[in-house]
Amino acid sequence: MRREDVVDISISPVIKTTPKFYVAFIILLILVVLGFLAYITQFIYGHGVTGLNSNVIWGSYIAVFIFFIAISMSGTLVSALLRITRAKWGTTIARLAEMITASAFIIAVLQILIDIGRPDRILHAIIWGRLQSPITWDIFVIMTYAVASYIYLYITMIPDLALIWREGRVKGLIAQLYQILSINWIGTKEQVTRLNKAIKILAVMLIPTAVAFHSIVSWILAMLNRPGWHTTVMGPDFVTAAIYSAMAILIVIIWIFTKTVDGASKLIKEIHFRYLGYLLFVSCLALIYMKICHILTEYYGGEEMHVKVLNSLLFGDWAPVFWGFMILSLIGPAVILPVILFREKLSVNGLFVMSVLIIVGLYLDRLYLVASPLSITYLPYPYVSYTPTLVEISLLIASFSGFALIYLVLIKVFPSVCIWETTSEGEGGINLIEVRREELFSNPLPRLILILSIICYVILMYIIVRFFIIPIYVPEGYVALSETFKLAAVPVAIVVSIAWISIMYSAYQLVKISEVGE
Amino acid sequence: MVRWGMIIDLDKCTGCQACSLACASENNLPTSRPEEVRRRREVEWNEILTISFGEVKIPLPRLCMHCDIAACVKVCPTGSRFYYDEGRIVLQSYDRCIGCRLCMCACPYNANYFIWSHPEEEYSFKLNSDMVVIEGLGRVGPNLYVSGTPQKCIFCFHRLVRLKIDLENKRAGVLSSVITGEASWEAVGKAIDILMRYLIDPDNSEITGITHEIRYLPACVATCPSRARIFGDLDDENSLVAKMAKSPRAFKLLEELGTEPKVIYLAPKGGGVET
Repeated sequence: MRREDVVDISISPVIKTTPKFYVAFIILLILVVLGFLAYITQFIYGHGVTGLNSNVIWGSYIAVFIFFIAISMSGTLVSALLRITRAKWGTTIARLAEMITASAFIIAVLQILIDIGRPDRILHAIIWGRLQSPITWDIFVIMTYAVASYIYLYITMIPDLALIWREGRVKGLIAQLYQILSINWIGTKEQVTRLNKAIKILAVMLIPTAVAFHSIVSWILAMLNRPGWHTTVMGPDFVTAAIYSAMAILIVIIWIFTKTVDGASKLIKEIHFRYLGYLLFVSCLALIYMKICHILTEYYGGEEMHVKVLNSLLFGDWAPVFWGFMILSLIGPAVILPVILFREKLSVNGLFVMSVLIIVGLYLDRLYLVASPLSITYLPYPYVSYTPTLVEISLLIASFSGFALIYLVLIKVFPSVCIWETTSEGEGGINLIEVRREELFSNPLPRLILILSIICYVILMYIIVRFFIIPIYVPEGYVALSETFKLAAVPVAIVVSIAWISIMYSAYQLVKISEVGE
Repeated sequence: MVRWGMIIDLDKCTGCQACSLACASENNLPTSRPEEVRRRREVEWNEILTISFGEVKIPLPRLCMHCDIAACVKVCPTGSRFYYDEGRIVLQSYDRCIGCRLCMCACPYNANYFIWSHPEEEYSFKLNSDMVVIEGLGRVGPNLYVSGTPQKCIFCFHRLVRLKIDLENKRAGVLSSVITGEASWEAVGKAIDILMRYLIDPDNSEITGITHEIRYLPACVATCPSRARIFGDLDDENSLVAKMAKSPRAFKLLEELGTEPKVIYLAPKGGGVET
């Protein structure tokens, strides 16, 4: 495919604004505003407006949080994994996948703010954070993973931004934005090597971080001594479900992309859907395996509380949610996906519908995973279940709309297909542009990124080291025991520090790239 | 070093709910409407459950167990749930909590109660103003209606602190003359033990004239009409509570979870079967 065509497709949403865009934008904006009003209600009247109660104290918000954290896997998986394995088909959809990660993170972090009872005190979790708490691990690892993902999205975009700006394809504010963001990229050999170095180290580092990240999110539940949560399979289950939902949402996104952007179907062909469909099917089977591991071992073991939780899941109050998930996300796809995938002519629309259903099912999965173990109590309290109220449902809808809205804005502002990788076919031969040395200017952006990342790293390390050294309220005689729980944070600390080193390394490469003309 | 603990004799407990009422008025607990109770939105730091013991069903008062290895303290992300060094009471700072509710998920006893909405003005007249403030942590004393945070039983910590201050200032009536020397937490433990012995058996007590000082005991203990509750220092071997903890009838709730609760129950005689 010619470079000009790829550029056309890549920036067509940026330069052309269709009525469809306005309609979508306004509808999504209205839904987000409605969700915001629902949140205002909750802020004024307290958490009483939700369906939560003393037993089931976590509900839809945490489920949505975990769901969007899971979706953020798509950028890493498709982009980083396919880049490392040099799977060429992945290059065209890599950018679209990374943008999913970028949008999902914002929504996931917002869910925490919506969920906690005192959002005005959120900084207390950093000022007085305790290393023993799974929530503190989460804060560290979410920060790290988010920064790494955003830098990764940005670095892979630099040559495209430079190309589009220098060819004069965009005008006005966007052109200025591209100029600043393209940090003097002219495609010299040194720049290409440095860019590839930065991308490679980030891609290699992102994959273990992602696995650690999803496991650590699962530990918020799995570390507590609750039947239904307290299982070792929780971490692998979360990682698998993350891959599964990431594949499903990516299929949905690229289907919409091919339908709405002119000429995109020339770039994203049946083969992309087919390969993603294979991955979807494999992760579906993996998730079935996880669920069987969980349910069968606990049932056979026959521990009273575990069986109670499973009974409420399989036959009790939670049966509609559980079986809804089973049919939509596991049994249905396991039966229908092979029929779709192993035919000569792939039904792309069928795959799209399946993906949407899988996403709905996976939300139900997260919901029962969070709420159902809480409705079973050790002591004989009156049984209460959990039904989301209007406020929670409108915030759920608003979260999905907000995700789509952020995605829409990203597509509208940045090139949506990775031009330099799609055209050069991965040989590093990135478009050289004739440019006079005088046009280059000193750009403070890369240095800013480097300094900020160093500051973040120092603060993070300071917090970790300080917490390890200073005990907080440990009564005499219980020092050893209470301090031991801090050791649980060691794997987290190791992952976070290694990831930050590679982030700083990439930021350093950016500085070197921008200095080429000086 | 003291270690506050409580014995609840299930043989004596009649399930009269007097402890719940005393707790609610002592600790400013909000009243709840029927539909809130139906949805389990009520705040009841001291809750009476019904458990089957052998063939009979008996009332079981459940308060915060003040575990030595508390699940809630372990998971708290901000340290707002903490052990108070002297006495190993599990307390919560109302000013530091971010309301993540992880402690509520972690507690196997479901002893935490969330404040669902903002305070209603009609309750403000009955607020107990005996608020304990710990430097650096903020207010930990009786319930404050801090909306969006979970709260729980504090073993009437403010009453213990009041006793200590009164002992220091020699204002604790007869107790001040009995307890001599420095007003340490151990001395408070001894004073509590004297009060407890007086409460259980006023006729045979060595020290008399301390009826008014009963107010230093936790509200539920001071109120209990059948004297089913005994409070005191578990580490002091001569205290009533430590002696009763060694009873063959003693058991702890959900002992197998390894939380080491400091609220100890005495099983009904004869395994609960009425004889």
